[in-house]
Amino acid sequence: MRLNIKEISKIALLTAVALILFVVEAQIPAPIPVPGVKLGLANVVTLFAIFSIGRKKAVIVLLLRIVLGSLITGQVAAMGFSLAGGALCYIVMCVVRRFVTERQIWVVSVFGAIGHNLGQLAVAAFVVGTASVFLYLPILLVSGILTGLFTGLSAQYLYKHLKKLNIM
Amino acid sequence: MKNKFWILIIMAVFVISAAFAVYQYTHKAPGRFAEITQDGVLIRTVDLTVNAEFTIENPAGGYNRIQVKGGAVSVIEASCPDKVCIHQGAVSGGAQPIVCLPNKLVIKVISPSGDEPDLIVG
Repeated sequence: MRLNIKEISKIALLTAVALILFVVEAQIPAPIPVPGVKLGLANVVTLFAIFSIGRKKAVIVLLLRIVLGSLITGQVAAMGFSLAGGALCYIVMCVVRRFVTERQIWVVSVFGAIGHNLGQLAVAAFVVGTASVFLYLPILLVSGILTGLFTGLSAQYLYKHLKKLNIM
Repeated sequence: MKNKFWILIIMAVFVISAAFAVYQYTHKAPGRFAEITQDGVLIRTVDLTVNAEFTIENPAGGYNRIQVKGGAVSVIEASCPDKVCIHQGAVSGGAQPIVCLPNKLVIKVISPSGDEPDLIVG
């Protein structure tokens, strides 16, 4: 993929915003003691990227954010989970994207959150060597749908207003 | 596709998983034993009626300090950066295990319902 300077700048800008959201969110303690529950604020940027600069460039933003985010927060060991969750989330979002309009970003987000949780659990089951971690699936789906709705609506408003500015 | 279609699917998934989650949290029969597995291998079975405190070392470096107190098991100290296992608190029953991913440790309270009858009629 050949990128011109404008496109590279957009990718860099979105990556920077995603990293800030990721780092800020990492400072917030988990509200409920269930592993894997989180708001996923950085996904607002991934969603926005898929709808504005397209899925091919969005994946660059996503990968850069995961690798740099793991290095910044010092959780390099957790990078595998982020990558698996991020990859499944991205694939699911790209598939769902084909069936929705620009006014249904929240739908893409909810399915992405579910994909993210499934990917994380799959890696967790693989790492600890027991499938019993899948007992967390119901509570993770509940939280994933709620946080997915929240980040999805955030991305929806962001997209709606930034589109008027015609900069992306 | 219409909003209605998506709302219906999402609501269905939400209701089903919420029902499962509520069931899991309300049907927590206290167990008597906890199984500790590391890397998928059972390394220790602890009796929850006996108060104890011990450390489990990870061969790759890292440790978890485990406390058994008042019929519940908890991780009180861990070498991992995120401390998810400590935040999970004390567990005395239920199906969901305490998981420490960095040290590949799983602590699972064995539910008594499997090997003991709930009710004897006769």
